[in-house]
Amino acid sequence: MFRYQNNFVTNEKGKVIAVSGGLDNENRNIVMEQKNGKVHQRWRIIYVDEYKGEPTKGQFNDKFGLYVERDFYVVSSLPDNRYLDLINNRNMVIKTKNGRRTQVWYFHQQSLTIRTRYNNQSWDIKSAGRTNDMQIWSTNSGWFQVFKYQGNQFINWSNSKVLDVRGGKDVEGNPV
Amino acid sequence: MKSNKYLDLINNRNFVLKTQNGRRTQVWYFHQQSLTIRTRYNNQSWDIKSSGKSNDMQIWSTNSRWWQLFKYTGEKTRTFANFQQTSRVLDTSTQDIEGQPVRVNKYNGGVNQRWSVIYLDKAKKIETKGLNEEFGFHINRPFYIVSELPFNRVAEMLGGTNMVLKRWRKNTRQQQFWFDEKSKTIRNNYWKNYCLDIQSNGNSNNLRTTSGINSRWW
Repeated sequence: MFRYQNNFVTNEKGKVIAVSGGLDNENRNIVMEQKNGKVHQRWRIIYVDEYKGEPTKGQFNDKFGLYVERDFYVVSSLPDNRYLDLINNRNMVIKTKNGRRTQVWYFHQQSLTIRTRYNNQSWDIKSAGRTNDMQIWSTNSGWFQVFKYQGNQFINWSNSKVLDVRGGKDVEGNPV
Repeated sequence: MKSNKYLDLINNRNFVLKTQNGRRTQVWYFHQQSLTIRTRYNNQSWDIKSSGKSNDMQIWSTNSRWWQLFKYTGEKTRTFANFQQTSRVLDTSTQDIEGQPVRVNKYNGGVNQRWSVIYLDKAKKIETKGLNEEFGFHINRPFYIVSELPFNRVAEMLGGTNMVLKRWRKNTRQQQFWFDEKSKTIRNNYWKNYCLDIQSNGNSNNLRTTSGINSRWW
């Protein structure tokens, strides 16, 4: 017997259903665990007749704060309002607006990543999240590739670190 | 008691308190010929264990000895008292929890010794829709179990056994579940006769579905 209480599916022994290992991967087993309140133990019960499904192209994903596959620029709030760009078609920097596709981004619903129109690779924290440097990389939807836009910041979903211009210096080609 | 749990059996033998679940182990009748109270599960009789020397209650083959004879004392006191040792009444701990054992103890007038007899022909019909507030689910209304991890994947039954995380797919009934009011279990909408179950009678951490629906805590 299971009960749905405060976003947990629980039984009377205090265990709750949870995603094994907390990994948000396809085909991951769902198991019973002692309740610890972490997000991998939290669920929403959504009735089929009310479920809207995932947003499609042009629709707003309110969890991620971005429209699906609608191109956008990322403009720094530093005084010169430089644009997020790439150097060596790989590493993130700020640059003056230049019309190149390396400055054009879109949110990809299926992978939940932000991609470049240059080659459709995704935002990525280098070294699988172990550094602070940003690049584009083949999409794998690891935690180090998943960002949301909230309160004028791009925030990594897992570690809450935000996109940041190095040293706060508003100069051409400064790394992000 | 506050939650109005029902007298039931575990291991088809021992008396416990449980949420109403539609099983025949919660249905009883008075048998005039033996003067015992019997279960509809297998027609055995209420019985104080060890020929009345214990306080534990069970069902047992009918023998109509004193430790099998009980009377209901009526709407005022609402106890089940042993017919010979009238101070010994059906009793549960003051803890109102699932699976709490039910025994006989000395009468003290407590709410944990009071019982209601509800005849099935007078009982309320099982609800077929609406919210079951205790369990938190709408009855018979299919739902998804949606993870709050970033991808918002949903629970899906694989092959009628294991439950895994998958991206939502439209009209995939393996990803849909519903709450059965009668058994108080969660059923899969594809394998409708299977309910959510913790493997090995709750001794494992694996979730699966089973057709052996017994409404136990696992």
